[in-house]
Amino acid sequence: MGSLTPQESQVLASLVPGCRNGDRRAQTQFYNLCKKRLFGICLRYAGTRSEADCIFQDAFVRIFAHMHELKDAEHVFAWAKTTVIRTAINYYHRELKASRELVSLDSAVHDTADDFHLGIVGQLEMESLVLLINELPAGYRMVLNLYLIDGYNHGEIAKMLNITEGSSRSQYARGKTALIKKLEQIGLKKDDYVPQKR
Amino acid sequence: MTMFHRNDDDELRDLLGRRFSDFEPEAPEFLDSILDQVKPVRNGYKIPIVKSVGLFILSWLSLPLSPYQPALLSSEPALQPAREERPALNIPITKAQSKTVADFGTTTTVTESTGPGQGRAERLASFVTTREVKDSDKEVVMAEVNAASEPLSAVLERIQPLAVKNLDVSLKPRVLASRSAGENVVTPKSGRLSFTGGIGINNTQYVVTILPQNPVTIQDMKLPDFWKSVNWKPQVNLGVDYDNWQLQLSYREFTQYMDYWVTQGAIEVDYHGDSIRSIRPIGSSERIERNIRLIGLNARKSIPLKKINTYLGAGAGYQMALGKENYRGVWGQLFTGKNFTLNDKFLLYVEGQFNFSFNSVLHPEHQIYARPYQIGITTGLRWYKP
Repeated sequence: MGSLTPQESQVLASLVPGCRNGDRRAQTQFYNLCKKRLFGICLRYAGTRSEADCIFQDAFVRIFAHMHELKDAEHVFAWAKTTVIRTAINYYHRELKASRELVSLDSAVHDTADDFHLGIVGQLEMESLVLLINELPAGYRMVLNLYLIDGYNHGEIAKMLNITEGSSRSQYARGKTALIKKLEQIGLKKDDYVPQKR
Repeated sequence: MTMFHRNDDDELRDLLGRRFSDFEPEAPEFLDSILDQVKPVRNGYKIPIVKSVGLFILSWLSLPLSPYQPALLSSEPALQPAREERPALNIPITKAQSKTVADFGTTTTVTESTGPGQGRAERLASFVTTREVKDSDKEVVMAEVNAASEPLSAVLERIQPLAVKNLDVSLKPRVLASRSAGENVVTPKSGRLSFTGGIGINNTQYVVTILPQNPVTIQDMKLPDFWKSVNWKPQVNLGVDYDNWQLQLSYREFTQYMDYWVTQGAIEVDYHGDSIRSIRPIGSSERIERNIRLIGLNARKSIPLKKINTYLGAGAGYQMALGKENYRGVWGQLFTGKNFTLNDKFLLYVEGQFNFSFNSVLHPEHQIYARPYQIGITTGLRWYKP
């Protein structure tokens, strides 16, 4: 997801030396090329727009400050994306984890939500979809994003969030159920769903 | 009808992955605040830069003599006892009242005398002396006499008055230290083409080297007074910048004013009968007075220090003298300065500079090698190409 064209990758790679040297022109170009994609990631992980802004800003500061640590300039976008995700997780740990939104596996309730509703996801406007994700509890939101969209497995997620792998699975299951409930809450019923041709 | 089944997470992943692959919402414009928060880059290089600059200055100050005077040391013996070239034997003796003794550094001997008496030269033996020169009265004190084949009194007794003709003079090698001078302009801004013009003022001092063959000592030399206006000279610069690099055309002046005493290596002895009345060196006061105008091309690189809103850098360039002066050589430069933004096109900079020459300015007559260095301040405007 969020992949770049080969041309864009080349341009980004060519900007890396300038960014490392503090060249403002290169930094501006880099920012302009990446900002939309990276802000999209921030929106998914954040609960609100202001949180997304905060994560976005922190992430870019880290990207520019640590770009000299990047070994392969060709993979700068993947590295930047990972930096954004880790910044979001740090934000979650710093700001949100105190609220104990993650629920342990033992207390997890295994909803038997109808997966049929998940097909609705394919029909939603992106803004609505992001809003639904934003409204999820932070713990669910993190795991859903990491597992479903960014492709990490539960072992990796457990390490990132400093939880057990079982907790990660639990949060995922609960998050998925909560997402379906959200879909129902906004009035999308089974009958409204038109399945996608696959 | 059912597209997704319970636990069919792969389907869901694919779907969400596709949907979010092109998700590019409008992003906020935080670039300025982001860049303000980014720490100055390459912190790890600060210490090496400081160290290397220090090392560079040290190495420059301790540059060896050899590059500056190719033939002199190698082709001529540094110390040639005068008696070997001009044996003091059979010296004609003229006057009865005075004798002249030539001082060859460590070896003192009578060299020559003329006059109606026309006595045969007297070999005085070699009596080794060391001397102490006092700036005030140039009095020479015979500190030690030894190895003489005859006692000094006996020698003097036999010598008839001398008149000085050609004094054969050479002094011991002495390498002497001294002082300095200034120069250029610059201010870098990354990623934009800009042009600079500036003026400044530099104070010039010298690192002086006097070769062994020269009858001059550092004690006799007066180097430029830092506070005298004659040692402050202007400079003008025009440059073009891109990123943190600058190519600069410069015009600068420096004045070489140095007073020194050229000893002729002799002392004059007045005496009555057997007793020595006075001993003094024979020499002349000399002065170097010349103004050297240089034009040159310099390349410079600066490093912005965002935290303290300033910059520092180094450069080098080739300079050549205008007019009759025969001087050309490579100069180095260290600088630090501060920018003041006037508007989006103009910027005022103030810069302190330390300029130093890798080549000596040679005084043609006495082979005094002076490497100028300058401390100066420059200010000017930078215009950014729209």
